[in-house]
Amino acid sequence: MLGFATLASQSTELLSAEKAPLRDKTVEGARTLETFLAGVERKAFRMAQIALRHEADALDVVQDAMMQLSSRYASRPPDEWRPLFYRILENRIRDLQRRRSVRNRIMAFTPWRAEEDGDDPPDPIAQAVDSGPDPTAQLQTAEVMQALEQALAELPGRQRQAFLLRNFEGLDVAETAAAMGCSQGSVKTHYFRAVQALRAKLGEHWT
Amino acid sequence: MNPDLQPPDSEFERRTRELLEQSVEYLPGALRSRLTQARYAALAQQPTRLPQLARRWAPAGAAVAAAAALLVVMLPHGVAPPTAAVLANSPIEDIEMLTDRDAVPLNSASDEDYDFYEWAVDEAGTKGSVGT
Repeated sequence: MLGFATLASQSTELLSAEKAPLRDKTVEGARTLETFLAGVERKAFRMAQIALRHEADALDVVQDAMMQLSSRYASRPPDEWRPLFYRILENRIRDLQRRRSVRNRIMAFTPWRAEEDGDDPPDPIAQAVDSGPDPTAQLQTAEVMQALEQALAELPGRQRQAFLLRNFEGLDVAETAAAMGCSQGSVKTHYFRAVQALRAKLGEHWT
Repeated sequence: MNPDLQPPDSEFERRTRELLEQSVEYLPGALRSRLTQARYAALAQQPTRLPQLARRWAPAGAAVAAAAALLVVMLPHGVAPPTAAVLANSPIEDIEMLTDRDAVPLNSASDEDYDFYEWAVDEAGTKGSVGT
């Protein structure tokens, strides 16, 4: 019986000794993921908001992307999270745009339903950016920001994505290519065209 | 113009980046709060490692259980002699009974003879003594 007791106590010690680092790793992993998500969530939201021009939809797709990353890819190395996260986010944005497109086509055949649903365009005042205490500067920044958002929203999806990931999120060409699922050459081309198009549209706001 | 020859960070690009970053800095508090809630909801979706841990230690647990079962089977059966502690806590007549080597071993394999002994005691009670 003494042998059994010794064996059991040794097993318990072994289990608890092995569990401790695993538990620590799990907690550390959760903290790392939380830090990552906290670091990207606002920029991700702005990217989604620019693409969708709708705050609630932008929040939904960001939350979906965070959930997808957390539930399916949390075990991947943290340096892969950023491209993965933005890839998921862009997929969600595209899905929502497709659904909207289908809905709009259906609504075109039933104009009375569209009126009933009251799918209003976004309120520019509600979407204005709170940019600081100086009202004049705030107004100017809001106007320029609105123009930039409008110009970005009008870009083809791939160009907008390349521009925001490279210029706003600060991903390098390789990471942007991973996030967009294309070659690095394509990223450079999309980015170059995006800058050219934005320059052409926003020239007056940058003089 | 070749895209590869594009200057890495023109004034235009710097300006757009500054504007976009500024817009993130001044997001309304309610919106920041909803993003935080979304983050916590996402983190709650993170799969726990406990099932992995259980899978990893299942063979060890099975081995311990098998060892325990083996020990129980291998333990020697039979009656151990009374220990000093048992004797000390027993009344005097019980001590006599416990130490009596000729006493009837009621809890051993000879339990099968119990009916005989019972019959013998009954006979002795009715006829006076067993030998008469």
